[in-house]
Amino acid sequence: MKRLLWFIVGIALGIGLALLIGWQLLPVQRADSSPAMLRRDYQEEYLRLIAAAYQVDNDLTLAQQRLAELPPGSLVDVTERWIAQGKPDDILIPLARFARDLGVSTPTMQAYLQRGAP
Amino acid sequence: MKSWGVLIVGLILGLATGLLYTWVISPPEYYDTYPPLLDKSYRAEWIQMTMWAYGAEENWNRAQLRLQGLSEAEIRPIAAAVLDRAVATGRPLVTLQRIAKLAAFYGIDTPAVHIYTGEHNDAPTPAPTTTSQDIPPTSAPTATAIPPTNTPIPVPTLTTTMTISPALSEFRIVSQTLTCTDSPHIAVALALSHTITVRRREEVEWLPLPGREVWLLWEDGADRAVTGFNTEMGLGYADFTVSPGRVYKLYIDVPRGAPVSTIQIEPCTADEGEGWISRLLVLLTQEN
Repeated sequence: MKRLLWFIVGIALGIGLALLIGWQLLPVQRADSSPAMLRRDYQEEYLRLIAAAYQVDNDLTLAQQRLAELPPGSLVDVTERWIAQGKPDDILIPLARFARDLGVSTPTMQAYLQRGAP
Repeated sequence: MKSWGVLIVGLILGLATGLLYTWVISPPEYYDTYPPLLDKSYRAEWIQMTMWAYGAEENWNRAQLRLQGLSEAEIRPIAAAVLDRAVATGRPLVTLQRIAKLAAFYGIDTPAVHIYTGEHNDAPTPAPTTTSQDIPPTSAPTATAIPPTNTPIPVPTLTTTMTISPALSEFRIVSQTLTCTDSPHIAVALALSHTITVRRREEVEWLPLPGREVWLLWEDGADRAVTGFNTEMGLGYADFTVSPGRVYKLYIDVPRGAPVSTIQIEPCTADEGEGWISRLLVLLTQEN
């Protein structure tokens, strides 16, 4: 009976130690995240990259597929917030153009479309 | 077995079970991650977009930050592919130069990198008035097969539009066939002049040259083809669809020095109506 008790204590200690190691001290780092799981600033960077790449490769379908990996409404939300924050034109113009080409442009973005016109 | 022995056995069993659960069955799910923890396909997207974005923005520090934590082994093939695609789709020269610069930083050593990083200072440069927005992607020449049904016609303007520079090129034009087509193209057939001795008599034969790079450069872009992919036309054959009115410089192997030929795509009139001059050039090089 005493041995069984020691055995259960051992198992309990082992499991507790394993949870500490496996979830806290040495958690397995699997590289299988999606863009939606990125930290917010990286998500915004992802969005900026989509717009910048679209500016060069002109592949709207591909850009749409990439955008679909981010939370819905990200393009408009981030662009309008950045406009409000006064971000530089070289960031905002590609985003405004991308939004226009997707048909989700807002009145706030119109000024940047005109600024970006050739 | 003593009590402490039982405790150790239990501890080991518990540890093994717990680690199996935390590392394999239910590993922690990550939120607020960063690019190196993206799935492989998304990492590839991230790298591709960074390359393209650098082509547009030329923000070196930002590109470095974006690629931070990603392995160079992963970046290299994607960077090379992006540059090749940019060249193939006729992106503006300034974009190609930027992408090539970033690719070179990660150790890409391809002909395209050499050309667009300015390693060859005598490579043709574009007119400064051209902007990146002027070139729709569909206007870029791409390697396509020439329809074999074209009828050769004489075109008197040829001598005014071509200059041949044999002194700086191993290849010389030995023949050319001009056709009047709706969709103009430039085709080349590369051959090696090879001398053999048959019964004490020297005879010259021409051997097709597959796997050689053929470059067309124009004012604000470039295209490349490799001979031998269209076996119906011969192992030394490669061709490009070109745009009417544009002036092209033809190079073999590397686009530097004097071009083998400078070709302007001019209008022509055939029995079927008006079109543009297409040409097939047979280029010969001597055996060393």
